[in-house]
Amino acid sequence: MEKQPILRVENLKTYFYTEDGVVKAVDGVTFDLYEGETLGIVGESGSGKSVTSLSIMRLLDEKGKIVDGKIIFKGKNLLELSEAEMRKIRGNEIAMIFQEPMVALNPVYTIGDQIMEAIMLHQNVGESKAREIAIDLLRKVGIPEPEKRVDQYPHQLSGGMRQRAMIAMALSCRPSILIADEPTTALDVTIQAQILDLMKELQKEYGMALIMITHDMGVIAEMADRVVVMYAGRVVEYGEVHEIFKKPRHPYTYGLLSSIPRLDVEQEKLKSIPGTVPDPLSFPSGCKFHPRCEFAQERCKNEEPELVEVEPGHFSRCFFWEKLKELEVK
Amino acid sequence: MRVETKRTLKRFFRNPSAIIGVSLLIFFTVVAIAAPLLAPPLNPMDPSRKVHDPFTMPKVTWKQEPVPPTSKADAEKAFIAKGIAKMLYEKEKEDLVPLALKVVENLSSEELYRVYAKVSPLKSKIKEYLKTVKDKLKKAGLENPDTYINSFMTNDFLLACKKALEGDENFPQVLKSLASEIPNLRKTYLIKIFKEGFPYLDYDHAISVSKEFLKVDGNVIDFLMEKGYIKRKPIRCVDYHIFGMIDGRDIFYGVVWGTRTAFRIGLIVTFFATLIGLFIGSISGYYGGWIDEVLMRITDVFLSIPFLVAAIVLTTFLGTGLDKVMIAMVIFGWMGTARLIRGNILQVKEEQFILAAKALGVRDYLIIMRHVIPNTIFPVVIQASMRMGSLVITAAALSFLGLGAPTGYADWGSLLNYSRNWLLGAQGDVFKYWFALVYPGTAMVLFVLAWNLLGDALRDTFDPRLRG
Amino acid sequence: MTAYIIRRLLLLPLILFGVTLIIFGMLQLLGPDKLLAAYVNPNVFDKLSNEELEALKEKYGLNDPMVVRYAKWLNGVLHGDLGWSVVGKTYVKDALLSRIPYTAELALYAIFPVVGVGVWLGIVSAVHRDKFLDQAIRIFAVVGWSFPDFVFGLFVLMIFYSWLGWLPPGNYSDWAEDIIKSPNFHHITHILSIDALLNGRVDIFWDTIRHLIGPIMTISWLWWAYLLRITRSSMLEVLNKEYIRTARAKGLDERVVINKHAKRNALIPVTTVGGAMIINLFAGTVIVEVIFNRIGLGRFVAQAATQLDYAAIMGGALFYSTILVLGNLIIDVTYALIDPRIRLG
Repeated sequence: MEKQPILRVENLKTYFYTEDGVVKAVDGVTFDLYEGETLGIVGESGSGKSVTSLSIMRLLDEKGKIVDGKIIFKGKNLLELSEAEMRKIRGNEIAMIFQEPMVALNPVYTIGDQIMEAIMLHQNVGESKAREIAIDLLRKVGIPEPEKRVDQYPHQLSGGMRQRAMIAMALSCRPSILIADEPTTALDVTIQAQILDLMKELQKEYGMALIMITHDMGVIAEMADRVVVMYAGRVVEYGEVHEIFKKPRHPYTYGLLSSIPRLDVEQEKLKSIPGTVPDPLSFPSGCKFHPRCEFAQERCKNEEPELVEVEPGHFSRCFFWEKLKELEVK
Repeated sequence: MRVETKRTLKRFFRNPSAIIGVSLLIFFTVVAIAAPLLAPPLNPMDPSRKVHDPFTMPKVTWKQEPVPPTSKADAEKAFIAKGIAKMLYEKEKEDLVPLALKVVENLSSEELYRVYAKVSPLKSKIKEYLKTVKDKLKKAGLENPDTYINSFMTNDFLLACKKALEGDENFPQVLKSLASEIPNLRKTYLIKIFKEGFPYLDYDHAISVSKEFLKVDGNVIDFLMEKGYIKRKPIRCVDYHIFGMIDGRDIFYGVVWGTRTAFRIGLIVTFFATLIGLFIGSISGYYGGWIDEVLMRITDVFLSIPFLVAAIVLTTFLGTGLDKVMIAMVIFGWMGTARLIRGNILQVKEEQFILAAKALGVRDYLIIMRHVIPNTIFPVVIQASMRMGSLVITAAALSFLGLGAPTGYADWGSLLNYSRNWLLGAQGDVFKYWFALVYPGTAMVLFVLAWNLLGDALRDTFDPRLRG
Repeated sequence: MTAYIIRRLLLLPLILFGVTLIIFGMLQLLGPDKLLAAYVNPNVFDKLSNEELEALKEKYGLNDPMVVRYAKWLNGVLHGDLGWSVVGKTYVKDALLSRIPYTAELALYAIFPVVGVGVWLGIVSAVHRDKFLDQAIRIFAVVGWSFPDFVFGLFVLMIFYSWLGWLPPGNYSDWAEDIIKSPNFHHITHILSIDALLNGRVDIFWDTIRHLIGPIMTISWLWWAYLLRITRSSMLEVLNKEYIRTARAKGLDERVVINKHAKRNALIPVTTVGGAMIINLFAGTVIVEVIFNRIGLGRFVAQAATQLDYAAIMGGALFYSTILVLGNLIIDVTYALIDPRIRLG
């Protein structure tokens, strides 16, 4: 009865071997991505969400190593592919857009050059044809005067335009998965909304799956079908977006949600999660969230909880998830 | 914060560059501090002769005497005899040019100038003439004109020339001018030698005394003769001189005390240049506007003269000497720091805490001192340590060109300058004088290497842009 | 862009003016007595009495206020009158001009190995970051950087001249000198090696090249280390940029990523440094020319300095500075032309 996921990440472990020690940036992450859906990955900076996406693309820098796990895309384990096979998938089947459109485009080549490059690489077309496709794409992502823009350099475009160009580049080969790593963080609020709308629209049109990486619960609420909440390299909660928003079963998610200002409910004071993300070189023992958790007890310091299914399709990594249920009743 | 510091230190000391650099620097520091113990500023062959300025490498004298002079008067006479003997020796072996240079070495700057004015045109005249003489000698059928050329200016040669060239219309004039110059120069030299030893002795008296000696007792002259050893020729490993000798001076002494010189040049120049740079850069960066514009243009102007050329020019105009070299390097060495500081300050200025301090009405200089400088000082320290090496190289280059340290000063560049003359001369036995190049050269390379490694390690550790 | 170039052009005379001020200022450190020596025939100088000296000082205007003297001097400089060089036995201007081709030849030939190999090593090092190759190149760089050129040059002479006899010092061999100085040898470009080829004398060409290799090796050694470090860090910085990740995410081959996307960005800042370096090569030939006993600007200045030929020193310094300023201008403009962010910004 269950749909076959297009991408399955299983027990992914990505460690960084730095001079100061081993950083377990991603430590046993598991999730599925189904065709056409949007999966949100949310967490503070340093929670391992970007590393997860780079692991999928196998674009980690030299210090980062995937030590364990599987990434199954259309039945193939990406981690077992050769570099040449992987290159055929990158940009073609799985595309990615990055946080800072200012720095993600090469300043010395025109927008057109950079889009055409991917088209010519994967689609086996000539330069003039590629140029046509590029102009079409630019028009599709809502860039005015695409014939002119195609010959412009990145610095001649505004931030929003650049992100649109990035999207055009990512979509150039009609990928089946698009990974968007904080695509709107660096943009103005008004432009953020436009870009998100554009992405939604294009997702529908192309029928692709989208992995949306963000620290912004608002973006998640707007875009995602399902959500993975990450903390310190671990998935702490995982489930349908409605479930998570209405019935958070992990204190961290709870904290994230209550730090969003809401207009519909009267709040005395905006809550925040005390403390900061732990030092990645020396994570606390037991549950990694316990030093910041308002529900923490003795047990949390010594034992790390497993990811348990609290409801069908809704998982939480907390011993005391039921307490949150009680809280909700109040 | 403490964890972060600990980690940084750990990272620093795990860097092989840092380990090698720091160890080398510790080694050099120990050598510099222990210099009076390692190479006592005494003449090892003659401990009674203490050196006034320990940085001046003592000339080594040889005592191979069968009978040392017993009375003070004897010693005095012996000294004069030595002077004469030395002169006679040189008269035979050396041509006029080095002799003149030797004179130049021993004269004060005013005297130097006057002598120089005489020698310079003369020298070129000789050279010019040498060629024509050579050709004519060849034509005249002389077998080996080169050997004659080498002993050029000896009386025999002049006579030979005269014979060979009788009838040439230019030659008498040249001879005449040479003849008028030579006795003058030698006279000056002679007076110099006697004056050094016996300031109270007048010239005629000295001559008569030494003449007497030359006639009476050849033995005295013999044992005091510095034949060969006072020469500049490098000598390998004799007696105490484990690194050998050059220019009649102990290379080991020069290398050890040269460490002090290197530290002194490097630290003093870096300190003052950084200070000036810091001052100008922070004013320029902090105030901006026209002050910035003016100061930066001044910086541009100073940067427009190549460093080495600027140092050469200024050292020449100030007069040679290490202090002059240091002044020149400070004056033309602050621009890098100024630019760096300015750039950093422009960055830091936009930071929140500076804006906050400004909003609170904290005074400008307090802001610069308390907030800006601590936040920009690290790149300056890194840059300074990287610069130490190149400064020492430049100072040595000036000494090498003969513009830096005075003769006999314990300085690696000067030692290398001495050795230069001997590397090419040794036909057949090429590596005969290797020690004259290798010991001071190695000391210098290692010293510079130490600072460069330290700078590299500091940058790798503290410069976040290059962190992986 | 145009505004930038105009601004630079306007600043140019200002900077050169500043340079003349500094050089003239340095000259004043000598005091009038020594300055006089620059005007008077040295043979006569010693015999002059104090009164005569004073009279001469008055005659040459050495007792004038500094501003007047500066104006006079500057006027002379602007008309190409740099004074008489004792060392060169001719006017400073002519002495400098006659030596430019020699130094230019050396710098010209040195540029290719220096820039080519230096940049290449830097890129290789950055691409193989922290691997064995990188470590080896970095050790080479830091050791090379610590080697003073005169020490290295002496080693080169010791090994390649004294021992092997391959690379003699000087500009040309004695037998070549006779031919070069003969009227049959036409000096067309004044750059010897090229003239030799134009005259059809391959043997002289080889001879001049043989004399150039030692100095070029010495120059290269130092500058490789320098250029390599700069290229490496520039390349590393670029390789960490997001657009490189973007390029990889497109599925591009690593070779394409490096050759197309990284190299071009990394080499933009290297142009500035590399350009500045080439200019400094000109100034850096002082030591090399002295060691290898080559005729050239550098040795001329060094000789002038040791023989206290003030006019020549000042002329040399002015000349070097002018080259530096003009060269920097050219580089900055080139830089602006290469980088689209500045060209179109």
